[in-house]
Parts: sequence; structure tokens; C-alpha cells
Amino acid sequence: MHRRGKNLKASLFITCIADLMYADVGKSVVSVLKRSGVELDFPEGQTCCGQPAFSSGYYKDTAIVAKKIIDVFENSEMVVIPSGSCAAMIHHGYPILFKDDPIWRKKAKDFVEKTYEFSQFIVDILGITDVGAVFPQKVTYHSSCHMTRILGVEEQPKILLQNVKGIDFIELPYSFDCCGFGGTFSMKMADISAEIVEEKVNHIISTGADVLVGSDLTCLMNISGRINRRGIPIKTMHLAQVLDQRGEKHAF
Amino acid sequence: MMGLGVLTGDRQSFFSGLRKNIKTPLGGKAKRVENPMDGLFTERETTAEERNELRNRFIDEWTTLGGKAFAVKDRNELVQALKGILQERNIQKAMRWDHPELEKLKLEEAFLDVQSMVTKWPLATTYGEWIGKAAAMEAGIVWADMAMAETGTLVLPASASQPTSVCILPSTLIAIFTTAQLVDGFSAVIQTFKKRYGTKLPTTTTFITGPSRTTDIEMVLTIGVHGSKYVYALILDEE
Amino acid sequence: MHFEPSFHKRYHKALRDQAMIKAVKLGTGRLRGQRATAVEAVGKERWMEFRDRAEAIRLHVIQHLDQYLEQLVDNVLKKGGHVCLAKTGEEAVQYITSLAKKKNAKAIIKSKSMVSEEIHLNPALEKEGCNVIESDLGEWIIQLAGETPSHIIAPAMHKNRLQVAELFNAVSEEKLSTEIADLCGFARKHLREKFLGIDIGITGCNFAIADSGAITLCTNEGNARIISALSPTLVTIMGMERILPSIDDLAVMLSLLARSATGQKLTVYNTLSTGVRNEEELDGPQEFHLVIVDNGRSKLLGTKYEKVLNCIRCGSCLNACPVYRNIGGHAYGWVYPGPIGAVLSPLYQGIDKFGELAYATTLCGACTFACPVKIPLHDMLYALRNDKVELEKKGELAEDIAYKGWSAVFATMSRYRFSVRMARRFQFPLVKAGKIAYGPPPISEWLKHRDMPALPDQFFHEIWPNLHQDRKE
Repeated sequence: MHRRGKNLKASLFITCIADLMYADVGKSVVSVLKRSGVELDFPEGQTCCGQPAFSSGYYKDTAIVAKKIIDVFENSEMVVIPSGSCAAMIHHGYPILFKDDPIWRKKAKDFVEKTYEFSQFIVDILGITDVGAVFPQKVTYHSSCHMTRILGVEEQPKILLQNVKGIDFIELPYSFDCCGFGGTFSMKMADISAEIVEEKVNHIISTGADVLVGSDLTCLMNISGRINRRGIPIKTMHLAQVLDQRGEKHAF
Repeated sequence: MMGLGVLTGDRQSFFSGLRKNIKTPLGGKAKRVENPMDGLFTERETTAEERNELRNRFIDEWTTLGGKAFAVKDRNELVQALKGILQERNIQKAMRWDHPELEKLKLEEAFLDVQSMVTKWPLATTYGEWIGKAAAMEAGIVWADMAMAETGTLVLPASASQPTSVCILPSTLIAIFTTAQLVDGFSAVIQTFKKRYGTKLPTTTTFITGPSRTTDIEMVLTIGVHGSKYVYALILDEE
Repeated sequence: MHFEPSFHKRYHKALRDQAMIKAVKLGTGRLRGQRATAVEAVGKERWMEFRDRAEAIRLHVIQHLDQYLEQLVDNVLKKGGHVCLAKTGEEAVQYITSLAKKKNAKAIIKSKSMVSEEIHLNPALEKEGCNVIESDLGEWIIQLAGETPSHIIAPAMHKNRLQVAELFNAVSEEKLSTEIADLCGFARKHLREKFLGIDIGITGCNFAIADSGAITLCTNEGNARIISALSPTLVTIMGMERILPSIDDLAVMLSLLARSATGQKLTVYNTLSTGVRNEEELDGPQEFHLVIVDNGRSKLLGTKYEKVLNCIRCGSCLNACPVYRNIGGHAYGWVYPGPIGAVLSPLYQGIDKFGELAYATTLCGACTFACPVKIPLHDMLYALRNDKVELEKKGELAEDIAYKGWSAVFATMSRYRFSVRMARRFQFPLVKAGKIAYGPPPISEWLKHRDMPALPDQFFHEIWPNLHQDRKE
């Protein structure tokens, strides 16, 4: 792990879901990183890490897109990605995709070594545990599966959250349990997925929190989708959005 | 000695099929783990004082598991404790191992005044005879070989005079051992077994960790399903 | 037990059985909680060392499986035990039924053996006129119910006491209460009678020890111990991968097995048996038969699935799995449920029959992390999907086309931007109050239980230039 001073150069890999559905989260990611002294760029040509096709077993189709992504970020010194599962896909899935191709295997390895999940980047690379955010709310946090088990990033988001001024952080029971999304599983086996997300939502309700925070937008889309369907007044925010709060206005 | 057993099936083809499939990876096959228990289990020679601690540990574990355990100072106290158990459980018929330490206790006489009869193994010479008698026994009395304090486990290698049936069939099991026989856990047991038996293990060795139990119905714990329901450990001070 | 061939139908049936799901959630919740407590008591780091050691032990064994099995076979034969090398399940069944016929055996009693379920032994023996009774309480309950186990460790986890009382009352002379203590008391009495009149005893094998020709049996009830002591003829059925080099390896595995399965430090009864009794001994078998079953296991050697043979059948992957606890074991459609079943069933029985199980997972990885021998179960599930759609080309045409399209669009910026703008422009018939209100499958599936936001007015890549501008100031 290398630590550097301010004005670090990094590239943002926004992820397809944030790009298409949660631009506000992207805004907060940029804002938080800027404030932390990062010179951020946004390489054109970025689309998707390839998880949907990879999880469905279509490695060849995934590789077509993955190669494009690797090329897009070729000149980046570091890549920051506000999604645990996408970072995990790159770290775990890309080596599998290219294991029999010596050229792309090397390129994938280089890409893996410079790619960080958002909270991992702030805590481990920038060495910052308090971004100066203010958010006096009752908050709980869902630990997404791929981020914790596959990428191995567990504590960093919680450290950042717990240092937010005014925050009332409540530990989520079974926070490491899956939310039930599982990619196409949420639609192919929607009824099972619904049971799993119901368990998660009930745990969230039991904390008494007003806000659910997470690091993975697919998990959050899934959980908030169920929360909203049930008409429960719990807000859902990405970690970046919380870290972007300065206490000035009702942010959400 | 008995003759060789019989092998059924095509040994050649069975194993050549296996060997054909096994692949040697680039770096070579995984090596044998030389000392599998290294660093994972407590390994030490104990002092008498440490063994007193082990006794307390054993008693804790055994009790948590649902058994009863007592420390006894000498053989007199031991026999008294045994009689107490027989009375508590209202045991009239017990069987015991033919074991030199149990011989010393002269239990046949000692139990007369609590109206209990203890029979030394063997109960009879033919299966038909002894199985019925063994099934009718209310308690089995054994002298353990070793006791593992960390897990609350009795180590019971069997033999002709010290059969498994005595420790597994009756609803009450009474095991006796001295503090000198206490060990921390697997490390000492396995090392002792390797030294003593090499690869020629006894026909049966049973490790008993508490009373028989099940949670097969609604995850509710029930003690005493097939093996013993009441298990007692009497721990005699070593000389 | 007859299984509906469609996984979708099976799990839908399971989801409707709320009493069963409640029981499964209670069971798995209890077991995984107990496991977590046990792991914490050992210490997280030491537990990781234990797992690493166990993985190394198993890896070595699997890569030298022929040597260890040969050693085991020789040691068993030397001590007068008989060995059957069964390449297929049928060979094993044939051997055991012939033995039963030869012995004119009527009373056969069994302790838990997953392999015996796999090879459908009981029906074959019953066809020969044998009375086969399961002695493990959970196994006996499901035997009476005519079902297969729904959980590796707690076969009758899906049943409640009322259902058990009904089953027991069918074989009890007196009417039983629904109190669990009474039900267990009845089982003890009823099965004790059977233990005293065994013709052939059949056990499974937790671990075979190669250098001493010994079989390790682990039970909490003590039934396997009783069977191996009281059976004149004893048969042990063993999956050929269930083997360790020596007793020090066993110490490592036993310490992991009980904690992983139920959170206990050790299973109550661990027995090490070398088979036939000595001349002087009165109890123990006069005849011992070790049936070593391949039944598809050797096919996995040398493949990317080889590590699945590490499995010690502890069930901790089941307890960790969010899918398992919401559908129960029978939905998996074969003998092995949960994550291990989702991998083994397609491997042993074919992707055609069980390929769907590779999709019965959110790929959350909880199973891999729970596994005491570090089987990369979730990676294998990914690999099975890849096998299905790319290697065996058995994917659904619609999906094949969808991902071809996806890669074509997502590999090119201009196509991507065009497609998403078109989607945003033309989503309006589906949108109500900022949410997607209707949609064709698969979107309709999502919408059954959850809201979905509509594509917003601005994509991030459209906002970026402004953000970037702000920065410059």
C-alpha cells in the first residue's frame, strides 16, 4: 500500500449503474475526492466492468468489454471505483478471464494493482479517516458481499462513517448477510430474492435507523426498492453521499 | 491370526482410472503436511499443579456438556462417591471393565451395602448370552486411558477385557481416572497413541465428550438418545 | 422420494410451505450462531490457520488419492476385513445386497451415510426383503416420512414436533405426546430393541485413516458406536475421497468438523475402528466390509472442480447460505442440498438435470468463507455457469443473444451512449412518478416485490463536463 501527499492523480471509473441511474452519487464521489486533494479525471470510453455477463457465465462476451476497459484506463496511475462489487470483479474476475492469455493477463494484473474501491482509496491510499463531513442522523450500514468477502474491504467504510460529525451509527445485525440481489438472480429467481431482501429490510428496521448506507449501488437499489415498496420511511444513501454532507441543508 | 480379507472389484482398473485423472500441477503436487498438529494444539509436559488446573478445566467442560464430575482425594473417597452415584441413579445392576485399577477398588464387596451388583466383564461367553445381560445393565464403569481437559473428553481404547459395550450401552456411564492421566487435548493423545500403537491401533477407540445428545427435533436439545444419558467422571488425585 | 424435475417448481413449492421455512430458518440460524461463537472462542486468526492446515492436508490427499486408498485397502485386508471397490453406485448396491442375501439378513440397521442415500441403497435392500432401519434420530424420522434428508447435519430440520409425533404414532403401540422428550424417549426405546438384534450393521465413514486401516465415525447420539460394537457383520460405506493419511491429520479435521457443523468442540462420540475384532474380543464385528464408492468422484480429479472433494460434510455452507435458508433442502432435488449440493449435483448427475442449481445462488460467497476446508464454492458456481453456456453451449438462446448484444454495445462508447439515450427517451410508457411501473420479463419479475427507479434526466457522463468545469475555478 503506497501513501502519497495531496494532489494525487486518479481516474474515476463511475460504473454503469452510477452512470445511468445515480448521477448524484457520482457527483458526491467527485466532490469528496476533490476535497480530499485528488486530481480526478474521467476517461472516456468507460462503460461497465463486465459483471453482468461474467456472472452469467459468458466469459468471452465479458472479455470483449473488459479489454476495452483495461485500455481506457491504460494511462491512469490509479483508478477509483465507487462500487465494491465492480472493484471485486476487476480484482477477482479479470485474472480468471485472461488466465490463459499471457498478454492480457499481464495487462489485467497491472489494472488490478492500480484499482481501488472508493472507501479503500480514501483510507488506505490517501490515509484519510475523517473527510470533515457533518451528518447528524441515525445511520446503519450494509456490508456488501463482494466488497467484504471477495475484495476484502470491510472496515474502511465504517471507519469513514463513524468519523462523520454528529452521526449516530448503529451496527446492523447480520450486516454481512447478502441483500439478495445477486445480479440476474434478482429477476430469474425473484421470489427467493424477495425473501432474502425482506430479511435484510427487517434487520434494518430493527436498528431504528433513519438512513441506510452502503457502498454498492446494486445492493442499495435492491434494498431501497423493497423499502419503498413497503412504504417504509427509511432513506438510502451511498457512502459518498454521506461523506459529502456538510450539515448545511437537507441533503436528501 | 485371521487371514487376509477378500477384495471385490477390479483393483487394476479402479486405480488406473484414478491415476489417469490425477494431474500434477506446474509447481508439483502438494506435499504431505509433515506435522499436521504443529502450532494448532497445546503441546507441553505438565506439572502436578498444572494438572490440577486441567482437572478444573475438565470438570467445567464436562459439567457444561451435561455430565457430572467430581474430584476425589483417595480410593476411599472414590468408592464412597461411586456408591453415592449408584444410589442417586437407583442402580442395582452395573457392569465394569476388567481393569487393574478397578480391581484394586474391590467394588463387588463395596457395593453390597447399597444393594448394587457389579459384574466384571465378560458377562457371558457367547453373543446371545452377553448381549441380553449387557442390555439389562443400568450402569457401565470404566477406567479411562486419558482425559482431554480442553474439550472434556474421555479417551477409551477398547480391548477384550475392556470392551466398548460397557461404556456405550448403559444409560449411566461412570468413568474414573487420575489427574496424572489428564492432558490438554489432542496433541498428547495422538503422540501417546503413535508411540504406543504405531499404526496398529486397537480394534476400537472411543472418544466420549459428554452424554449422548440430539437436536434433531426442532433444534431442541435432548440428552440421552442412544448412548448414555447420565455420565459421571471421577477424578482421583494422582499419587 | 420423488422430486419434481423443475427446480423452479420445487422452490416455488418450498416458498409456499411457510412452516417448513420457519423451521429451516430456526435450524440454520441456531447452527450458524453456534458456529460463530465457537470460531470466536478459538480466535479468528487461529481458526484461519486451522482452515489453511486442513486445506493443505486435503489437497495433498486428493492429489495422491490413489496411494492413500491403496494403503487403506491393504491395511483393511491385512486385518481380515473385506473390501469392495465400487466404481459405480450400482456396484456398491449389488455388493451389499448380495451380502445380505448370503447372510440371509433380515434386520439391517444403519447409521448416517450420505453416500448410501446417493446410491439409493435402502430401496434395493428392501426389495430383497430386508428390514432396513435408520438409527440416527433425524434419519429415522425422514425414513418414516419417505423423504430424503433436507440438511446434511439435521436431516429432519424441516419437520416440527407435531409432524414427528404423527410419524412415530404410526409405529408406536401407545399414543405419544408431542413433547420432544417423550418423542426422543420413544425413539431410544424403539431403536434400542433393534440394536439388540442386528444381522448386518451399515455405517457411513467420516474419515478413513490410510496408515492404520481405520474408520472414524462421529455421532452425537452414539448410534454408530453401538452399531459397530454390536453388529456381527459390519459394512462401512465410504465415499472414496473421505480419507486422511494418519491420526494426527484426524485431530485437525475433528477439531474443525464439530465446530463448523454445530459449534461443539467435538462431536460426543468419535470412534476409531479397525474392523474385525480380535479372537479374544467378544464385541465388535466378526466380519467387516469396507465398500469404497467412486460414483463420479474420480472424474473430478485433475479438473477445476477437484477441490470439492475436500468436503467433510459439515453442513456449514448450508447454514451460511441465504438461498438455502429460504427454500430448504428438498428444493435442491437430490441428496445434497445447499451450496455443496448446488455444485455436486450438476457435477455428479449432469448439467442437464441440475444445471439450474448453479443459478440458485446470489454468489455472495458466504459458503466459501464458512467452509472449514476452503472449497471455493462460489467460484465453482461461476464456473458451472460458464460450463453451461460457453463450454456445453446449453444456455438459453435469448440469454446468449442478450449478452452478445451487451458486449457489442458496451464495448463501444458511441453505441453505449446511443443505446442508453434511446432507452431513456422511450421508457416513458413504463414510467409512473419517476419509477418503472410496468415492464416485460425479466423487469416484471423485479417489480413483483420491489420498486425500480426510472432512468433519470441526466446520466453521470453528461454531468461530468460541468463538474469538471466547476473544478477548474
